[in-house]
Amino acid sequence: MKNIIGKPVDGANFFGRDRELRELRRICEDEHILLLAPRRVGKTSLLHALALDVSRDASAVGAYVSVAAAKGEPQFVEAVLRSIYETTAGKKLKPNPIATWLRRHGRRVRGIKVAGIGVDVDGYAAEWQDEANRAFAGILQAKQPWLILIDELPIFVLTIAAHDTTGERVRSFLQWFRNLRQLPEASAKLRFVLAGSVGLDSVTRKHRLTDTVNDLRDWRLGPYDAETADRFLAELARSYRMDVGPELRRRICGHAEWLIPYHLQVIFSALRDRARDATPSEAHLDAAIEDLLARRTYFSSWEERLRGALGAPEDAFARAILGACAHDPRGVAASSLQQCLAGQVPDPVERGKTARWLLDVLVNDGYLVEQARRWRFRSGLLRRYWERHVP
Amino acid sequence: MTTGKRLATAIYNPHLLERSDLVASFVARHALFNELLDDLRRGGKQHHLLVGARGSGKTTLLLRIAYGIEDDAKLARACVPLRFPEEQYNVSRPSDFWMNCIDALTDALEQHGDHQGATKLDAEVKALEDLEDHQRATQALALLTDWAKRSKKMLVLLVDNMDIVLERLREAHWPLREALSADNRLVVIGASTTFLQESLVYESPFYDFFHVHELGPLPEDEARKLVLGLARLANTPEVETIIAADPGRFKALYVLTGGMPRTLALLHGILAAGKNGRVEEDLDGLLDQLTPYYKARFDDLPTQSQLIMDAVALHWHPITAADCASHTRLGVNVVSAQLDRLCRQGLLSKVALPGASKLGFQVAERFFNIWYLMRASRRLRRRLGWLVEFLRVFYGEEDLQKRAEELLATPAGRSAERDAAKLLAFASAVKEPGLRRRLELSAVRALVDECCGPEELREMLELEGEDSHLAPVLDRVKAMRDLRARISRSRVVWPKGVTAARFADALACDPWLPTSMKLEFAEHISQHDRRPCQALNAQAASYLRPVREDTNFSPRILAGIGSGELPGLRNLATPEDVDGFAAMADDLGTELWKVILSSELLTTYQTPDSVIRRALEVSESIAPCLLQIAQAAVEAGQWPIARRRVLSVFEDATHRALTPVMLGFLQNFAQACVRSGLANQAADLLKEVGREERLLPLYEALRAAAAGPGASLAHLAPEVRTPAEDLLKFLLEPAPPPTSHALKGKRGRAGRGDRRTKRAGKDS
Repeated sequence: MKNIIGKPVDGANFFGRDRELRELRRICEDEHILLLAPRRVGKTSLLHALALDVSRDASAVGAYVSVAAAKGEPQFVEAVLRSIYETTAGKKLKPNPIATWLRRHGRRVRGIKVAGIGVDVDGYAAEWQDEANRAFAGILQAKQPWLILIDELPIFVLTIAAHDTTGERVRSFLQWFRNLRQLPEASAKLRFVLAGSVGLDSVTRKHRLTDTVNDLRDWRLGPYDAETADRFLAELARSYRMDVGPELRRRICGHAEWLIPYHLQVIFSALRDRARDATPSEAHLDAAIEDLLARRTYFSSWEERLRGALGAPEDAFARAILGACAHDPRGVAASSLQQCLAGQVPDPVERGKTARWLLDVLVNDGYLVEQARRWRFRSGLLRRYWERHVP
Repeated sequence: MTTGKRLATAIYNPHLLERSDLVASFVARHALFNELLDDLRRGGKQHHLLVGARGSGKTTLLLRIAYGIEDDAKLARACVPLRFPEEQYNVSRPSDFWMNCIDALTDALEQHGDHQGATKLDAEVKALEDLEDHQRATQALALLTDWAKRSKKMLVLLVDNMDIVLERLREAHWPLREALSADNRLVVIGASTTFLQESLVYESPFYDFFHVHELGPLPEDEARKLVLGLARLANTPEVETIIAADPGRFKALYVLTGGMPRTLALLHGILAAGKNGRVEEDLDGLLDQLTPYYKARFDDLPTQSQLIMDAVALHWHPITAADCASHTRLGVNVVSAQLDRLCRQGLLSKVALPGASKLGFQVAERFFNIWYLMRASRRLRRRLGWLVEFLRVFYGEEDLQKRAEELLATPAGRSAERDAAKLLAFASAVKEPGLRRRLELSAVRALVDECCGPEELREMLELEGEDSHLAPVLDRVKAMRDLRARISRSRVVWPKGVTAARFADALACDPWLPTSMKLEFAEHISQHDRRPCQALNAQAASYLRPVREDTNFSPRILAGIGSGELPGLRNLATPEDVDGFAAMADDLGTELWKVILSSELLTTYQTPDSVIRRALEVSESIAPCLLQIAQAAVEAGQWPIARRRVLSVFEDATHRALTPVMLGFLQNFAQACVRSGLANQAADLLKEVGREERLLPLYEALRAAAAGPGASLAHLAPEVRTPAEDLLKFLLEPAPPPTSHALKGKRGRAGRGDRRTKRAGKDS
């Protein structure tokens, strides 16, 4: 197994998510899924693994696509269709390009008035939806079922929402997508797993569009449990021929706090750098942690962003909450966090609203995660930095 | 071109180095180099980002990786390194980036003799040129990845200035991320002067995307290896000799280079050029070499950035945004934005401030800061403030003193400014006040000799701040120069054996005359025409006796007064003046005594208290001198002055031993008090200074003297009564006939002083 930081992993490098994979497969049989998790938890790697898994046993054709780069609905559809057409089964379904061209350009102009004064053009919305519906109709005619894994959907939704103050475009898109998912012929043959780290729910709430996503089963990807994290580290150590004993592995987990592969990998990498050819020790680990914490530019950007993003007095409220969370690696209960704001927001109703809103922001912006009804720092290193340096 | 010259030429542009030279000179950062190659051997799949300040060796490392891949048979089969120009100026769209990658691949194929492959690729690229931009990007990427897939090779993109590339492609980050996330045999090893903003922002596509490796300063042993490696490569054994013979010198220079490979490489060049072992001169050479590069970098900045850089550089130590705003008088928001931008450009770095959560900002490349201070700051001390700390570390206390003495003895160099700056730096570094004073005075002399005008001097010296004590020195030095100039210009017919220079020297060095009077005299002489002047002859004659033979004071003191470095004895005004006399005295105790006593007598006890205190700190022998002065003051009817002088001897000085000499003067003082009807006051004073117990017999004798005739000491214990009775007898002795206040045994000289005092009729 290789220690890969940042890039999605597959094959031998994909580790420790067997339970999650089985669970997703089981749910996928009956429901579409909205897979949400903070960044760097391993969603993309899990999606890739799921696609590979279903394809391997031929229970479905898995097609992965990331739609973050899509600027509009046509590009979204194009990206999804491309991912389907690139599979072995999908190649046969790709429409004739000439027919596609004729359809696009033939439909574009219905008529030209005499002397070229007017041109009657098809509506934009109808066009891309029609294209998409036609393509999926073709796909659904194939025998095999499809599992389409769409990554970074919330990013795409936010992209179109940015140009859509009324919410109509977002509604139109999400409604179309819901309709696609709800097609009778799709129920057994077309399944979607939609993944993202930024809150889709906040967009849908803002524009009152929750009805467009209420058919999705909400599923969260969390950290490793302690045993899996330990096995992960043991496997990494084995592949790098490093003698990292159980106690040292336990300490690594202690430093990472929230046991996502990314945090474990970063610390493991820093430990490797420190130990070099020697047997890693606790002293090496402590020094490695200090090396990571010494990246003040990296950590201070989190602090500075609060000021920029929230302004006064909300950034002070946010700091109060983060300050409370910084003192306990296990995090703090919501009620206690509200109490942090008691001095600044005396009215309990207002305080509750403010706390809930701030927690939303802090989760969406990657500071905190919720685990077992407690709010904790997503990164153990960031928590330590905050505890040490932020008053 | 010799290897040494090639190395020197390529310092700012490693691309110019021959492969063999780069490989041979690559002696630092081996661990990271091996780690990256090892990662490629394990299959890549990891993108890396090398973050380091300018001159930290990023470009060299990227080049070394390319050669490392090509030189390793296994890696060469599995990977193709793609090298790009250091600045990819033509990149503004994703298609440009991918087309550059294809160009780099074509170059690589050509280099390895695969002309057919290169030609084929060229033809395929041509077909993309007429496509619409988005299509061109997609197709170019597909061309690249298809080639990699067909050849079963990884393409290792060695991208310098990654931050600039990403900034130019900011509208296309998500597609770029997706391209790099796919399993398509592309590996990026990028280099950047700062952490990528994109990797810090949670919502950003590249958040925590790269495995970051920081290229920090080289530790000392690696730095030494680097310089020694360069010495071997460039065949400069003298550098090896210097480092072996004087490890401390290397250590000090290493500290200043900040462990930056580029600056260390420059340092090698300077050491190789051969100097005389003076580290300050090594630094001068290094800074000269860096000037074109640093000047260009600074000139390239927009005006507002230059203002900010100026404030940060002049501050030397890390500065907060708020303080920077205050210095530049710009708004805090504007300053914060500029500081962030300069950090992103790698010119500034954020530094933890001790005991604070805020970060400070400092010039990232410390040598750039030093260069800036040396070139841009007119304030001499500020210019070399960094040198002060360096000198303390490098020389250690004892050697620092020795080096400072050597500097004082060194003749003036080409630039008085540089000489003065060095002298002031040493002055700030040494602890011994006398030596400090001499260094400062030499600095002043150098500047005045260079004819620096008042405006220039105000720029170079902080006459309202740290150098305020030098302001009167500057004035005096200029005045004495002026005096000598006036006399030398005069058209007086000098008596036989007298020259203008001798006369000027005698006048200037006279310790008794106030400065104003000397100048008046010089003015008077300069206005005389050629007619002989009898009165002048008489005066001139009186100055013929070389003042420097005056045995009251050392020749150095007299010379110091003559040059203006020291004030005349009527003009003692500051504690620094005391330091000046102390520095030049041959016999500190005696001469300082004479100086203080003369000052008090000439000014009728108006010597500032701060001068008195300083003299006491410098020499304990002043204590009895002050008691002598107190006695004279009592005799002159100046009880308040006398009281002050006695207080200054004993206050805050419980440790001060009562030596026999002091006891003698104290008794004389007491006697003078009794004779002036101040016996009770004297006794009270003894009590006030807490010495009545220690000096009980004297105390009791004073009380008895105050009580008048018939006062009895019978109540005292015998061991106290007997000495008290002796002292009482002494105290009541009748006064001798009046005598002058001049120094005993120097009546002739003192007499002249008296006549001058009367003639002056005033203090200076």
